[in-house]
Amino acid sequence: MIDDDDILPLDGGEVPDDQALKSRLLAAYQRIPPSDERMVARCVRMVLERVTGEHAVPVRSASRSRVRYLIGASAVAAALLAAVTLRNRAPAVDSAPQSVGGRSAPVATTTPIAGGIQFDLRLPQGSAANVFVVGDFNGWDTKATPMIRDAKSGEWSARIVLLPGRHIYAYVVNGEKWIVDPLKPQIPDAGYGPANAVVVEEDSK
Amino acid sequence: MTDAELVTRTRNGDSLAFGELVGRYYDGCWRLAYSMMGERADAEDVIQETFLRAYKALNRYDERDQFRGWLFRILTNQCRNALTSRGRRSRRFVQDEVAIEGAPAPPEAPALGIQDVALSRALAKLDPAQREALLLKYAEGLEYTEMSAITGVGESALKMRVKRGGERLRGLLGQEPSDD
Repeated sequence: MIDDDDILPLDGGEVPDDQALKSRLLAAYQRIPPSDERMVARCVRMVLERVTGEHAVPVRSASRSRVRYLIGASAVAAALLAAVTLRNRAPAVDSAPQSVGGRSAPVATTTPIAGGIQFDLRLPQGSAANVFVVGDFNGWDTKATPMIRDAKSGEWSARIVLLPGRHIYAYVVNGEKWIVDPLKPQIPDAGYGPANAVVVEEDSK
Repeated sequence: MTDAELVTRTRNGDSLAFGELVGRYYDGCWRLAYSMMGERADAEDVIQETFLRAYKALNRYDERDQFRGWLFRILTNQCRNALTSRGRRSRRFVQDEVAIEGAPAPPEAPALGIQDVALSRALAKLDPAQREALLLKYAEGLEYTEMSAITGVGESALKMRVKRGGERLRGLLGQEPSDD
């Protein structure tokens, strides 16, 4: 616990900032993986479910002292999730090709690694100059998470540290073509294009 | 739409307005709660409880106050309550060490999730009140007057917590002070 003299005023009243400590704390703070829309949706749903289960929100104005009961807490949370996702999505999404060089094989794989997922994508030779992974974990930023091409196998890979939970993702080829893996779980298309989903377990290694 | 407008709509039963408020402030709460609690699930629980209490107390919110400051006042209280409750159960500070230590750095990718392990551990060893003061001052960048409004603690006591917390943190990190 805090010492008793914690409440004593300091001589001079000012405490100079420790710049090195401040910079290090700030840098660590900014590197915390950001929250995502599913956490927000869970929070909204929990609060609305709790308050509708206990009592409704009282209207502040006495002149309109009518109590409106909250409806559809889950629907609101789902709408919020969809709205946040929709806000950031690109329009056209294709499926990843299932046949490469005459071979029929899964062309995209996701592998659990410590604290995250490794994304691998095999594309027809010479068809891509650059590939990026986009998803809820990077705000659907098409420039945030580049995949690296293995010169030998031609396979594109990216390793991403993710919070446990379900993540939604797609691939962006040459900065314009959005593709998903038809062989992997996809989230329901709510009118803004398909995307794959992957689950990161708490202790995935 | 301003915070005050969203609050008014929420008071009138507009659930989407409440969702907008949560979306607007969740991430700010997340960083502070995660840094205070040191564990994802606890941080998320604390934030949910914070927004629940905020929702129930919206009739007492004065629009002249900054919503963020008002919300953080609830959040810091909830963090303290949760830490006290956890302290009764166990003195262990849970940290996602497996995720932190095993996290590979993605090549040419932003440093998502790569953490300063030494700092996380040192912060975990601080008294929660010192940790709170250091985070509000250095990570959130607040003035002592703002910190006082949020925590309900006097400015001189907060200065002392920052000073002593900083000294202890430097000691744990094996650093010398680097004042202005």
